[in-house]
Amino acid sequence: MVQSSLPVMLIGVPLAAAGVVFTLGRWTRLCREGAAVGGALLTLYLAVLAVGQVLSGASLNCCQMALNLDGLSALLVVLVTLVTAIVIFYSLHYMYHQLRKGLTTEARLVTYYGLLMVFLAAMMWVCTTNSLIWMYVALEATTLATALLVCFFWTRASLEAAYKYDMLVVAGVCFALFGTVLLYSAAAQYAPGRPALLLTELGQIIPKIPPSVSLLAVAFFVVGFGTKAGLVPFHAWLPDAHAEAPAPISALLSGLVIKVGAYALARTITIFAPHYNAVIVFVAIMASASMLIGIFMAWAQDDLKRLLAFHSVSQIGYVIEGLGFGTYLGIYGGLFHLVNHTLFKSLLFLSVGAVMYATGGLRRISQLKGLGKRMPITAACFFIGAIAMGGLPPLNGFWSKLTLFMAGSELHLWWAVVIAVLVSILTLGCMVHAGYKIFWGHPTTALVTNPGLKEVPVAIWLSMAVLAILCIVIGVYPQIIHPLLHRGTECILAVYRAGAIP
Amino acid sequence: MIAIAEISARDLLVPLVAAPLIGALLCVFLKRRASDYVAAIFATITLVLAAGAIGNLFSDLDATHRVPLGWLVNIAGESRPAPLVFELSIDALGALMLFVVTVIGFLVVIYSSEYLSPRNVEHPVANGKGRYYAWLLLFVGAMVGIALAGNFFQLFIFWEITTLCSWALISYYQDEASLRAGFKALIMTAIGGLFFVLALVLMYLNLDTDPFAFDALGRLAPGLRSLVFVFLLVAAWAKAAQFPFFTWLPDAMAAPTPISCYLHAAAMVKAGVYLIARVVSASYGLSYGVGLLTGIMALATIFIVVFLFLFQDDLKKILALSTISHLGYILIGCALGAWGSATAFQGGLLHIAAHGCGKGLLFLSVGMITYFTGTRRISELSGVGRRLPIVAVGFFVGAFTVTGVPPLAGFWSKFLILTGGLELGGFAAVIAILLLIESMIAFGFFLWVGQRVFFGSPSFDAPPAKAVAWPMTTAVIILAVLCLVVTLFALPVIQHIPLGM
Repeated sequence: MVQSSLPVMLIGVPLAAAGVVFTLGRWTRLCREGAAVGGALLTLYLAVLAVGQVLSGASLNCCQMALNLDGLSALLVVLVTLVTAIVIFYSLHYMYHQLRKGLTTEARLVTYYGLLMVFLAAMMWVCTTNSLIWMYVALEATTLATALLVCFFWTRASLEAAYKYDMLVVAGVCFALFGTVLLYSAAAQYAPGRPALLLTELGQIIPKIPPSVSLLAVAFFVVGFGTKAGLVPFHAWLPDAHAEAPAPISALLSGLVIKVGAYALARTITIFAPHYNAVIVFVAIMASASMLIGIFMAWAQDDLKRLLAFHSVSQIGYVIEGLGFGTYLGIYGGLFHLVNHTLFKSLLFLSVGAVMYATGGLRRISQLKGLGKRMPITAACFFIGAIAMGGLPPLNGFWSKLTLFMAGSELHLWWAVVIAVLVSILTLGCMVHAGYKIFWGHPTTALVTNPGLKEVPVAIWLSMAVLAILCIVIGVYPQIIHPLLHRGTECILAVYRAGAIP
Repeated sequence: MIAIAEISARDLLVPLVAAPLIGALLCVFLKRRASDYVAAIFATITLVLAAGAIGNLFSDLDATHRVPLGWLVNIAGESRPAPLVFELSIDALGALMLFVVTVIGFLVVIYSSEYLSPRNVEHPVANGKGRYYAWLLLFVGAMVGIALAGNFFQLFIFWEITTLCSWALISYYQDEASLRAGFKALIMTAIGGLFFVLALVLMYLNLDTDPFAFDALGRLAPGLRSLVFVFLLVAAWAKAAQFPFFTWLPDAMAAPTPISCYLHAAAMVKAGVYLIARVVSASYGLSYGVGLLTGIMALATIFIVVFLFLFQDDLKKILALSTISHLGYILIGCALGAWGSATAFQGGLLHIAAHGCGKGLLFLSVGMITYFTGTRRISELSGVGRRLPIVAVGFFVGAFTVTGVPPLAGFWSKFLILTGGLELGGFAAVIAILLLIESMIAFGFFLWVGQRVFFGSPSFDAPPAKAVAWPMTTAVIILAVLCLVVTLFALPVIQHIPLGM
């Protein structure tokens, strides 16, 4: 427990950047793109500082414990800032290109970068807050910030998608509010004169609450945060929103927004899981259903972005299953998969964005063929993402899936392991199939044989390359991320252990 | 000179794995002739290093040289010691595999420099060679990694890399057929890979110390041991194209012929049988049942394939089917080994080398036929021997090697397997007799194919005198010589491979 102003600064810096973008961004690019890049990089720097301190064993808090940055928060904070910075860098050229094509205006770009910064601030807030109620509020803030980004192009389809996204997620996350209120009403008497719903103290209070109340609360949390995470059957918003948003925003949605849902679940259900065997099975059933339905729907898609969106539904199942197991291996694997999925799914969405950039917006598998010869870097990035998601070594997805298989076997949940293994092979098949349809073979359609078709500029593929290299580095040398994952896992287990003592 | 003499096998292992990987990385950025040279140089370096490592091992063939490289993260928390050790190790069995992988890998790289050219009649290739060599060298590197793996876990990592490489290489021409074939190979072998994962998970959960060591199976409870063995066997079936997973291999003939050669003779499919040989060699107390399962499934594969032979017109597909049945021979050698016959086990191991050389030679010969004529249909070919005498010699030597004509290598390996089977008696003797029958059918069939393709009046004009294609001819000649002599130095090594009992 160390008093530190880092958590506040993590939220404050992007907010300040957002302020600069909204007020001055209209006049110069420096205050628009410049402020966004500066804000993201500065936040990333602060996040790295925070990680350094957390790894040495501290947890940083401020504002009378309202904000608390522990190992799990640090993991999310550094992941969110890193991916956001990469996506912003990708956006610089990508959105400027949209501007030149007349699809958007300078004033709209102010909104774009401003909202990105607000989004970053909200994400920082979710990850560092120490109160369950404020976590709910911050979660809604991220929804609102991204909803306006989803409908950025003001097309009919994107407006509909954003409306659906907003309605479903806000309504869904309300269940989490019910859960929180329920928990508060039960917990308040045990924490007189203190805030009752601090995450750091929840572990001690939970065992005193009647099981019926806490089981009901868990159900509410799973529905609420599960909606945000895109868990089946609350996933209806996800494919539309992912498909209609601009490519960089899709990467953020799939890479980060659904992950905060998983993060919130990690903070809440794992508190209960060890006490109630039923919770483990309940979560495993939900997660397995999510994996299966997600992958079956993905096989049926022709639209690349919808295909990736359904893969997100499927992959988030792995994350939540691992977190639900409640054992060291399970939580470790869940968090590991959370990190890996963020990296490779952002990479895949950015690659599809590059394909759309080069072909003038084509994103149907049936319309594309043989792009690999013209766009070798994009093809390589896509395949790295695809194989990482398919869980083949030596890429990062393999390690987290292996950990999850081990965790499931350790609990003797064989049916869950079999489903996870089956979905893994289906994922590999689906992604590689899509990849070779798009990038390999001999081009046939007029658009693809068009001589003007060429590799995207370096400003775009550099972001993808960074993500691809991260996938490879973690795959070849998984130790690199172990300390942070270990620390994050310990944070969750510590709450559980505190609760386990009667 | 003294300094060179003091280099031990251990010092060579890390550069041995690194050399092909570095070569692969360089080839990504190269084109045409430059990539030929770089690939050839790195293949040569790999070969020389491998020769050094194997040569060093000859001083003490019972030894295992290990180079520990580090531990994997300890995902089990503090409750258990970190289990996984990354290590390169070489022993007699690894040396055998290393020999096959690097020699044939080297020859395939040399051969490819001519095969992938605009002069190739069947598939003229003008560019894309850098990508080809990159994947091929990565393949060689992964196979070296399998041969040098010190435990199951590490073997699995390299195993999956070979899956990726074969997928990319089978799809190399990127027409519909090859894309489909590559995808099929990837999915079928990845399914096998998941069984391997399950086996690893079971080992990890049930063993506290060294869960992935090669002798892990012996330390499991008997029921669990059989289960883990069956999982590994399924993985090996998928990789080694055994029934019921064998269909991907004939389809994979859509690959360029040197790749088919490497896939069949040395790499991909041999990884599967190598895994089973590893298990049988290192673990004791395998039950009679798992040996029976291995043997019967291999026998079933062999006889299914023999019937498929008769309906084939495509030379490469015949070779593919023949590969499947010969992998069955190796697995039967392992199965008899699990029943306690060291002779049969050694025969199976020798067959890895013998079949590698023989089948490699056959593929390279057929590759030369398609290179000059543009067809590989038996019905469209005749009199090839008149036009391409070296190819004819290569084909017949290869065919006699794999069908087991003395004094070629295949004879000795089959002889050992049959002897082992007859020694054991009972059902093993029945297996041996059935193998003998299959051998005779295959021999007759290959004779018929050879006579049809190489004799008679030539179906095509003589290639221009300029097109001697020396890289291809050299590779064929070297392999033909190896078919004769490989037993001489493989057998002493094989006799030092233990059989866990």
